[in-house]
Amino acid sequence: MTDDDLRQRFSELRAEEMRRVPSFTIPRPQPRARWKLQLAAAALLVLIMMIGLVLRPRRQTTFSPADHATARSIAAWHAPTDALLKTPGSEILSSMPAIPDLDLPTEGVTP
Amino acid sequence: MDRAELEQQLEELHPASFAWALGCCGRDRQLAEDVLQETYLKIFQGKAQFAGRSTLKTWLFSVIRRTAARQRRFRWLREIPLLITSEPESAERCLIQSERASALLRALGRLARRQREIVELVFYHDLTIEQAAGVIGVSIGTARVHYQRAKQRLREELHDR
Repeated sequence: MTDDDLRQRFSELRAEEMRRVPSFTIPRPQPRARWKLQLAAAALLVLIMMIGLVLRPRRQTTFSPADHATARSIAAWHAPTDALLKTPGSEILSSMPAIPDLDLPTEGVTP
Repeated sequence: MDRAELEQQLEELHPASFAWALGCCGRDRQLAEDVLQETYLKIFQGKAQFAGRSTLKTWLFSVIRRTAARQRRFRWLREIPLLITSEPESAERCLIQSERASALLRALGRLARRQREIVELVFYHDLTIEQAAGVIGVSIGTARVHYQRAKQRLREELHDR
């Protein structure tokens, strides 16, 4: 098969494909502009919702005297077994022992 | 070149551009039309500008090729929601009736992409190998190698058909 044969084959293919060429139209860039507009509208909506969430009126929480009394009783409660946690000598752990001042001789001591 | 002149030249080249877009899109007619529209849009928006270093046709073909490659890269994203696992024979695919032309398309489909592109540009679009190399963006030497191998493969595939 020569180059001319190949060229003939391609020209047949071209003739078939050229029968249905779509018309030439210059596209308008509207879809992209609309897409940007939709994105801007969505961003604006999200912004409005966030501002609404930040500025929404907050509920004031009030406590009755009975609530205060309950809270105080809970804070003052101690378990009956707390005494078992105290072991002999545990005060050593919570106090700092003092070192006494010693008057040591310094003369005649060679390094 | 002003807009009116550019429009006129693009219109003259439109059939050849469509044929090249078909070649870049695996003969998918719908995809080729999309690629061509995106190419024209790029040109009129100034995203692709003709610098005059080659012929307008060569430059236009290289823009179409790049646009088609970009479409191919992002095509799988569009197919995910439809759960398309294999590409069906689309009704939009170019309908070729002649057995000889169909055999040629099948043979072209078995070539490597660059070989197919070179041989199409030379035999279908009557470009020189140098111009085809410019469209594809390879050196002339590389283009010649692809051209020779493509011709050899086509001869083997089309032998006695």
